[in-house]
Amino acid sequence: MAAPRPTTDVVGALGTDRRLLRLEPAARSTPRLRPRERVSRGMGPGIALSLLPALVLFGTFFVIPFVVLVYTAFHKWDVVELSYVGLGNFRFLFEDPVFWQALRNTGIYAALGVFVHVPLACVVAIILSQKPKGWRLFRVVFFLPNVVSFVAFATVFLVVYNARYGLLNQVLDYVGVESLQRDWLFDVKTALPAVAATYVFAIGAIMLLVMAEIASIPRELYEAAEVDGASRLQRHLYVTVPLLRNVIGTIVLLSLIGTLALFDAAYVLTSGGPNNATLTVSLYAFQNYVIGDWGYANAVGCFIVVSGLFVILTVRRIFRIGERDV
Amino acid sequence: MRWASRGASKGSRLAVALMAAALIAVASGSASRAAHQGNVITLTIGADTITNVTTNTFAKYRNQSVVDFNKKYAGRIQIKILPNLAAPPDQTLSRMALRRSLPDIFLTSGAVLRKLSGVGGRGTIMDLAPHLRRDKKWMSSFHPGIFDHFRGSRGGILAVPEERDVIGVFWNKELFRKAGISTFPTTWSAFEQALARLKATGVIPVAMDGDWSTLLWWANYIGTQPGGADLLEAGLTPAAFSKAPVVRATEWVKRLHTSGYVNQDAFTGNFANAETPFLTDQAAILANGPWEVPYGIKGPNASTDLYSRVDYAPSPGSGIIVVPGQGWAIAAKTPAKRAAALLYLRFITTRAQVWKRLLITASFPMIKMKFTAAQKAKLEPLTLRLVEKSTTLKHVYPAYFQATPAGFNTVWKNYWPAYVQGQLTTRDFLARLADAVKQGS
Repeated sequence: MAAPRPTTDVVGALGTDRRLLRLEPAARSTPRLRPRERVSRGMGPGIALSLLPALVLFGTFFVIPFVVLVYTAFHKWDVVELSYVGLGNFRFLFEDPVFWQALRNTGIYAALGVFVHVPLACVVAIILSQKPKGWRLFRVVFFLPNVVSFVAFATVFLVVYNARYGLLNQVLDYVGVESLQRDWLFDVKTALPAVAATYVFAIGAIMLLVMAEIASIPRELYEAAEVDGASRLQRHLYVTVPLLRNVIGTIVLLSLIGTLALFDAAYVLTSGGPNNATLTVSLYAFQNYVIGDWGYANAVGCFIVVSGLFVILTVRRIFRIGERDV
Repeated sequence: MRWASRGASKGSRLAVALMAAALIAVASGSASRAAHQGNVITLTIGADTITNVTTNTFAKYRNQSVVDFNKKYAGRIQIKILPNLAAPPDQTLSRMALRRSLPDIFLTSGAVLRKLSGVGGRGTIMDLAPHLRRDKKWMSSFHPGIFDHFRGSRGGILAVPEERDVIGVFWNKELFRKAGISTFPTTWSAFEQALARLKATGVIPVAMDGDWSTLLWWANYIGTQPGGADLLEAGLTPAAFSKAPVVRATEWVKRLHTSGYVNQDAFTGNFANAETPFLTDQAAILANGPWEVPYGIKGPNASTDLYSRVDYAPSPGSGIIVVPGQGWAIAAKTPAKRAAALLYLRFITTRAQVWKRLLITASFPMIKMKFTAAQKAKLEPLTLRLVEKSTTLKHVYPAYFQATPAGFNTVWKNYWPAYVQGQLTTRDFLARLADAVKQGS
């Protein structure tokens, strides 16, 4: 007796078991699905249900506020009225010298972030990655400011910079340069550097990220460079730094975005003064919100969003974030 | 009932019948209570701070006054305390006015009330003037001019003030004595001479903070100039910033800085930076309200026995800042509720309630009161003397914050250091303040 001829590969794979062969017509009646599709169809409602809380939260706290932000930016919106003004808020924004000053200040804060804060953190990270004596202690010391809330941190600097009893002026007095003493936060010339100094030297978080990335660089690359006669500086310059491109790009991006949203340092220390010398774009938006000009404040908010998108796209392109060198 | 009709036992049916009867009884009881409650007028009351917390004496009294009122009018009127108004309270009230959901009784400043009366439409805020006119006894019980800050745009009275506090100048008699001065100067020229002599002894003549305390001096100088008190009374309009009293006051306060008569950290906007040198005998003069006595001069941060070395004086130029604080306004909609709310305003302006408030808050009342010797013994003598003196002074005027819109301080703090450092001219500085007033009002 000839063996029954299987009609499909599945049957063939199962051999000649007739109990299994009886399943064949049913299997034919449904379309063939790849395993992943089968899972998706079966669990669809479950997945949708589990996503629902996240979607509700995302909608409530991002989509709706964002839509309100954009919509009201084109309106005069205060406690009394909501009336369409077209580009009126934006026109006023670009004509307001205070906004331009806030933008210029934000640019300076950003430049200090990118050209002082990030490089300083990278240099410290590279040094500590060599594990010199006491590196663990230094790592903790550098990271400590990140454990404290920034508002509390800035409040400490209010005392450091105080003109009458501040630590900085007392140190200057102690070392015999009383002539340099001043009201650091309320002197128009020194206010911005004084505010920037509170966060530019708080490098702990970036330092840790860079140290983690350095730890993942294969030792062999350094050994090969050493064999080729590269000095220690050259090894870091031509091996470490290029391989940190992704993390540095990410840090620069975070730093710039952080600067666009910079608020707490200027608010706590100077409220944006004196004479708007420390005012940031975010603080400018806040000030307009406080006086009840909500539509205009949201126009500033829109400007911040667009600037943020521009920063993200530009930095991603410059640093090719996410790409791997082959 | 469906399950009972499907062949349930007799016992079950009986249970169901009993339950139904009980439900009917409960429902009818509620209805009769509701009918009884229909006679009780329920009002709502709101303020920036009104919930009972021990750290805020003003909130504590407000809460207590409602409790006392509800007790007195039990079965007829009940006032329900709303949670503290969300910050900033003026915007919260504006939003409520837009929705026509203001509390029946609420507390706010005169400037906000004028704004609100335009937000919710005419008649949102009850005009108290006709009621005060009708009840002459009630009207005459108040200090003269106390309602000026609460005048509506059409001349009505929008609120009953909460208090009548005076803000004077604390001075350290011992530091003045060391400088060879025995009394507090009564003219501005004598005051400047005193500052020079105090500076020569090595103390800080005037303690300032770049905000509250600085602006009190500014208001004092404006208020004691010819026509200055009127400018403050009318609320500083943008045009007022080019008037002589304001220009002179601005330049005078600047001169205190440039002459080295103030503390080095006089721009911080933090009152503690003005208060601390005064409390520690490093500064000779501090402008502030009477609450400085219990919380500062007699407080834990003051140097030993400072109280005995301090006196409280009116401003040089024979002037005094009088603060009516915030005012209670009525936005109840029905005539019955308005009448009930008016009863509450009368209640808190009775002598018994006012005395109770004075003891709790140490803040002096909006009505004229003659204190007995026993009562005087319970009051702070420094403040009492100044309050009594305030009725005889040449110039009486409101504080800067009653004459300017919200946000004015922020603008002042921003530009004041730059102005003092010579980065702005007086004209530019005042123009920026005028812009802030224009924008905020």
